[in-house]
Amino acid sequence: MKNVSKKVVAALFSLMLISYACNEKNIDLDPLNVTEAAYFKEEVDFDRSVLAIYAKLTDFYWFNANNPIHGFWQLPGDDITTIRTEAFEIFATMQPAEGKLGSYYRTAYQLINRANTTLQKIEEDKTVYKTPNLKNSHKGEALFLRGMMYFDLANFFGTSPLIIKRIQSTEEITQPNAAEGALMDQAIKDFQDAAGLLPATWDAANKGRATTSAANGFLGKALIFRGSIKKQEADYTAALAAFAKISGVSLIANFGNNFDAKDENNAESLFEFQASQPGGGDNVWLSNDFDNNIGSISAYWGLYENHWSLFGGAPYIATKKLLAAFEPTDPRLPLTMDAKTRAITKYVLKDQKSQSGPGSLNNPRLMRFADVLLLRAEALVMSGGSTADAIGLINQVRTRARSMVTGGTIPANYATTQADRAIVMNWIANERFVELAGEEGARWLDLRRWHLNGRINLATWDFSSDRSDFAISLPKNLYYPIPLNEIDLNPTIKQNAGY
Amino acid sequence: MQNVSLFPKKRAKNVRRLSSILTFLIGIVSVLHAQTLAYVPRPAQAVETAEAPGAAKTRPLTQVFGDLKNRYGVTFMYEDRVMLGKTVSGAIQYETKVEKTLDNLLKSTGLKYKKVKSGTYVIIDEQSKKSPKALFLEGATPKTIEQRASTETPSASVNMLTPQGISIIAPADIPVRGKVTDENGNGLPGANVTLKGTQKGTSTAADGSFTIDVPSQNATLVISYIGYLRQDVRVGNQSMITVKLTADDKSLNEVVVIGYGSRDKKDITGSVSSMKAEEIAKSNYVAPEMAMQGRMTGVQVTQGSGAPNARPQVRIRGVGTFGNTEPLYVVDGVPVNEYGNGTEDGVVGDIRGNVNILSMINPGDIESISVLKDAAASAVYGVRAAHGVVLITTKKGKLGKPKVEFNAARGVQNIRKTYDMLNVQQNVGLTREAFANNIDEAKNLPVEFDPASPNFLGNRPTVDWVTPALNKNAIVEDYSARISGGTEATKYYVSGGYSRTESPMVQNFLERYTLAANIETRVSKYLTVGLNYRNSLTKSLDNTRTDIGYLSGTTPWQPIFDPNGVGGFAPSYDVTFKRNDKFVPTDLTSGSAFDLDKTTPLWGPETNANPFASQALNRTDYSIISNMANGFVQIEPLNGLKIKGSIGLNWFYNRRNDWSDFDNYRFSQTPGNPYANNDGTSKGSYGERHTRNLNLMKELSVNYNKIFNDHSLDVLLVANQQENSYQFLSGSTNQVVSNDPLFRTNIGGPIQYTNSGAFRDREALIGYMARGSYNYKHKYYLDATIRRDGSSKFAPGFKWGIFPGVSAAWRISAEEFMKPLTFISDLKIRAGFGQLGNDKTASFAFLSTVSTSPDYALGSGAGNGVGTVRFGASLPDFPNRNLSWETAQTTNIGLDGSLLNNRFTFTIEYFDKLTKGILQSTALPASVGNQNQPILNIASVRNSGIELQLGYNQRFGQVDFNASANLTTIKNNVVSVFKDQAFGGDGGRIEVGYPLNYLRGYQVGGIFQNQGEIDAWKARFKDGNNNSNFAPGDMYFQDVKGSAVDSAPDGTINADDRAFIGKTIPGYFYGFNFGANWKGFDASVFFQGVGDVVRYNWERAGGEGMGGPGNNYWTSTLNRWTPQNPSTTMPRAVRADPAQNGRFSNRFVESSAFLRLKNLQIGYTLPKVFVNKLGGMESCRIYFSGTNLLTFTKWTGLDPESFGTIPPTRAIQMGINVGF
Repeated sequence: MKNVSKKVVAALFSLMLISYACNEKNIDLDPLNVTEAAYFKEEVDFDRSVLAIYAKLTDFYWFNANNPIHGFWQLPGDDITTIRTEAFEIFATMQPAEGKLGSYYRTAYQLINRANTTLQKIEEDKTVYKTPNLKNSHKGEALFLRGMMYFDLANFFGTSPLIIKRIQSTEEITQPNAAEGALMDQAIKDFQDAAGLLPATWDAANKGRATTSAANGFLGKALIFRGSIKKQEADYTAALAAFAKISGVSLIANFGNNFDAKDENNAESLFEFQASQPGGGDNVWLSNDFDNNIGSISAYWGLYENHWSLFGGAPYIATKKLLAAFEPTDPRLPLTMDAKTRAITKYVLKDQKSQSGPGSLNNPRLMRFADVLLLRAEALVMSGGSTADAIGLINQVRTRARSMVTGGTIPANYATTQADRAIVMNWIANERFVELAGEEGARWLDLRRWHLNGRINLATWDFSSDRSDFAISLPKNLYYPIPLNEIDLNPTIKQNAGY
Repeated sequence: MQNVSLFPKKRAKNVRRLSSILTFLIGIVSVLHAQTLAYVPRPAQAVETAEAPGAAKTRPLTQVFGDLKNRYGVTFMYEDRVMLGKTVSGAIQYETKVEKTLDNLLKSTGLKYKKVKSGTYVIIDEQSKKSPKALFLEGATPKTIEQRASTETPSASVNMLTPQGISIIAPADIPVRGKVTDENGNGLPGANVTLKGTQKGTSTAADGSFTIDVPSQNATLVISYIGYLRQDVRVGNQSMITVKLTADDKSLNEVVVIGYGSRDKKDITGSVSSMKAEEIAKSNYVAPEMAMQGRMTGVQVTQGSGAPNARPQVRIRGVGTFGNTEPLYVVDGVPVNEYGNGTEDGVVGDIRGNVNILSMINPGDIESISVLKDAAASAVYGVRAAHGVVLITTKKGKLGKPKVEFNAARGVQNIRKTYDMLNVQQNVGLTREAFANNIDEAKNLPVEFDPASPNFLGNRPTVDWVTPALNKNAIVEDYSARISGGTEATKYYVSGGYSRTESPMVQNFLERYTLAANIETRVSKYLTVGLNYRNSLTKSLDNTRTDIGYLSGTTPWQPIFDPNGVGGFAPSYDVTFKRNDKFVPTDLTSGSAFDLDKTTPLWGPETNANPFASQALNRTDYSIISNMANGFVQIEPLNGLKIKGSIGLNWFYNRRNDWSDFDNYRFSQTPGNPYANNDGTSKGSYGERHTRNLNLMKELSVNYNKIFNDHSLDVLLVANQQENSYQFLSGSTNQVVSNDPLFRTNIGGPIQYTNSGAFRDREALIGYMARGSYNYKHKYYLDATIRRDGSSKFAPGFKWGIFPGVSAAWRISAEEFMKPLTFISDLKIRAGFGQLGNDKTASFAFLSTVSTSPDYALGSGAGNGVGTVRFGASLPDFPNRNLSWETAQTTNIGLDGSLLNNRFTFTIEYFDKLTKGILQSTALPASVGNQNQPILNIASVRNSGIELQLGYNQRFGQVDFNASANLTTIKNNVVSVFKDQAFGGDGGRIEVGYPLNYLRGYQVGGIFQNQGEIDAWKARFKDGNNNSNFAPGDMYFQDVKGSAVDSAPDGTINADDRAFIGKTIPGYFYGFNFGANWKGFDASVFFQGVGDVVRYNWERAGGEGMGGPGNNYWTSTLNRWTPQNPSTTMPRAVRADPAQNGRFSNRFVESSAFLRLKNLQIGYTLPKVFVNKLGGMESCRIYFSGTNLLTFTKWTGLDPESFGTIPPTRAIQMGINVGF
């Protein structure tokens, strides 16, 4: 019996141990990942937060697991066309449910969210930043990138929500439309602020980050856009002032090098998306946000080069109108397209593939100095400035092209004596057409602002589409519809007129 | 084995008859149940119960034993006749030890006692045993005053002894002696032996023996015993008759496992479905979940895939939430917990792999499966029980000599059907027609389809891509052995098994070794300890690189084999490389040794991969080690009070190995650069993933049960704590020196070519539970449970939840007024209400975590296109601090009954389950800019329906027949959603007033037969999606409404016209079963089905899409619309689908209802006489079994149940069960 008692005591003891272990504090676990509260303790934490804003740019340019969204900006203009059945080419079949609209829109707002979050964290910090000017640089980068998004949203969607503070409560998740013009105003403000905060240059290891010149370039561009849409002369003047602050960039000798994977971030470049490949492999079926070493950070040019990754789908090619716009011996022509097949060669000729088959390391050039020169010319013409100076700027672009061939004569300089502003404006428009053809939405955005300005009429415009069913409806198609996923989930948002 | 007694002093006395006594004991317990059922207690008669115990008065002996029972807390068992008429006079000497008291008490009565186990004594009449001619009471049965089961006071039982009065047996003609035994040959005490057609009868003695006088040799004896099937025996010229009874599992006193305990079926008050080992054994699947399919009401099991690794989907009483609605699995009291809770999607699914953790349990080791369906029953599992609880109880050792059992089964399985596809000529014809039909795209007709081109491929032979991928007659085999047994002190069970299941597709199998053991020992009267351990090793090859859909879709001119290709396979691409002169092996930014130059598809623009080559070159396999251990200590300081502490430890380890050969790019549909991330000499890449799950569960429970006269009370208190941790570790290398399988599995080497990753996750739960169960005379029942749970998943302030459950029952059949209705054997009405929780959601969803996933490269230029990749850090979450429990509130009312002497049983039940605060990761408007979807308590969903279960068993001559059927109806309705905002895509829309995940889409109007119809339509409508770009043969869709809610049709067909086109949750599911036994032969057929359900048939949408230049299509497209063949159901073939005939509409919505002959089994049990001679076997059964033999469905895909890649199979198996 004593033996039994001992056993019972032992059993009771072990039962007590079990119950003692039941401590209610055991469910107060801490997460095994770093949380927001534990982050932003060092400058590098802020630096990474800024890099993540840049990283979001990937989602615009990557292969997107066989659903690249490039048609969103490449197709609506009159420079690029396709026989593909794509709403961005046809216009008339544009619907809010179009997937690329949703992808573009979501990416833009995710980038804005990262910028807003980074700005909030920078504002909150009182102790971490020690390196002189670093805080300003970071803030400038966040503002610059947010400004780019609002510039695009203003152009493509018009009045989608304006969000400049991080949304943290479920009470704030259904944001209303922005006021007419508010998005472009915000873009201008962000570029202005960024221009005052960003450094003039970065060291070699940080090459590719936004600079004050980049901010001033985009500021000038945004001002000219607002100026042409609202017909405000003051905006052109302000744009000229912004352009005047650009320094350290110049036209490079070879137009083609601007689209060469091996000549990125060259002297002509103000800002580029930095396409690359992660250490673990560029997996073009997984997004940049998938994992540290895996995912895609490359760009995609397969639509231009008729790559196998189109799986039989038709490529994007140059329009007949674009071909006709080039003088046949313009050295830029073969670097832009194949005159026989109208296949685009820009970005394709000197491409370098990432580890994956479809991905490319070739950076999309988001703003280069030739664009700035032509914008400056436009601002001069539109603000009553010197037409001779304006023509001189156009001629800089033409001279560079011409000089690529030793003893070249085409394209010839325009006479600086031309005083008819409409003619000079047409020269600028034509120069922009051939110089910037097929680059990141440049053409469509020019066309729609000139239409709003009254300079051209898109209703009768020759879009030179290869499709038989092209049909634009105005003013409806000046904006894309707000994507269906926003409409479906946000009852306070209004759809753009006509959709 | 009986020698392992822990009471050495008593050994000599006890051991000899231990076995028979224990059998006696078991029998008595059964008999008691019989009495409870058969007799309606009468109102208490005036008996002398007023006196205090020990008063000096003459009292019935039974009454004295009643006092002793209460005083010493012990149990007595005796046959009623033993006590009959016996009295005790004078004061009782109560000694410290009950034995001494008994010695004194019984001295004068001629009775003796035997202690059969601690606290249990059998009272035996020595004299009556010696004189079989003694007077018998007809219908008299042994009696026990046993606390757990007794419902009557001893005095009441005396009254009940003479229901039919005393009859003297008539003078004997022929004396017959005999013995009644159970299946194992152990004597059954108290069995009724009656002479057929008379009132005359007797009951068996403690050893099962009986003596009866019969009038002639033609007399027939009817042997009955509760819990066993009745047997008629003709006396003939036998003088010694041995009757072996077989257990009747259909009988009502089936014991059902409930949460924290078990209970007689008649005493159940909640909604519990259960099944026993015999039914489980009929399933031929590795996954134990499949055994439940169609067998239980309220439980829907869907076999999504024929792959052996695949996890069936289990839904209990409908779909209550959007995400993970899998029930909680509790194996022998230990909840199974794994990372991602069974998620197979997204990153979590990718990491988990195609693995079913439950397949570690050999279905042959399962004793019973119980499914707790309502809150009243499953509230004991609180926060984890919202989607129901599946209790799996494994087999344990039973008292008796060692039992050895071998099972072997082997069979084959095959895919039921494949698609009929176009041949090369038909495919080329269709593709050319499709391009010609689109004037915009016609110019893009690939040269491979142009007969004028030298690259034309349309004259090539048609290649069958599917057949070589099928593993015809895939082997399914299972071998297992079990040894079990036990003495009164120690019971043990050991089993081992091996099974191998091949997929019906090549390069895929699952091989499982299982080992399970449990032991339970009674250390002393007060102390019991036990250990339950289970281990399994699962090896699985998961190398099937594709599915039937992909293979069928391959352009049929593409070859599989090419003697000149790598490994004899035909490549998909011709890839050339150019040397990278700047390459430095130690500098990743210098790129690869070779860059991709030209990549040319060899078989047209949409050249497919060659999965046959990938299978041969690459390899993915899994190895899973699972351990489940659970140990307990139980002390019983007072009779009826049990304090139990247990620790459960589960450990799952899953290793996945991936080998990818250098040459793989040639056979890929999307070839990448094989020289990337290696020094240019690598033979391939290799990676491993290791995942570990560790669950620790500690539990303390106190259980007290007590019977006070007519009142029985059972109280349970539980406190438990659970911690789960999860670790993931992966490593891979792109630099592999040799592709020899022996050497290619090393990770290491040059550091820049090696990758690794790891993450961890954890969660913790604490729960307190109290349950009180009360019943009065087994007539009125009340059960109440309350549970308080805390989970680490929620923010402080939201961590704790309280989950109550209450149920009540009224056993109407126990009422006096029901007694005349003799056809009613049992009838019970029950109702329950309660709440359950669900915390299955991402950990720490209330916190904002930092993601270091975004990368950005800086510093490229001047010849370097890569730059330096740098890590960014984002805050991807939208933390929701207000996140709290999802709760399911259930209400149900049911009626259980059995009629005609338990021949017919039924259960009918109505249930209503309202799931509130559903935890769901939710899409916010895109403008919010969050990346990870926040988890919100987003909606409420109601599931209601009726469950009906019927059972019937009858003996016709020598044929035992049984049948059962079950039906569950489900009405699913979304009650409310977050911010009143419908959400979800067209494939699974969630909107108030509709069933969860309904299909939303356009509705087909018809097919334009000519331009006139188009013009007429255009006069009235406009299609916003295609700008009314129609041609004859295109589909048009219906105008349902305008842009505003509930607005009238506006003449424009656009996104506003998407409407309800079908519900994806079955309206009902059912199963029915017929079985018969005849002279050792047994047969059963089992049908199962679901109804009132549709699915979007993606298989047909692909097979009839007719859009791409590299696809093959179903032969049904031969009936496509052409001017010559104006179809009204199949539109024209047209490249890029300009009219959007393929938009998400009801065109491809089909009924996925089906009825299946799920299982057919025919067995033969060899006669015992015969098997005894064959190596001393106790039993031997051979059987043939077929699964999914017939399927009746309108579904045009491979299988109405299939979720994806490999459809469920048809299998046939032969098997043998041998017992020693």
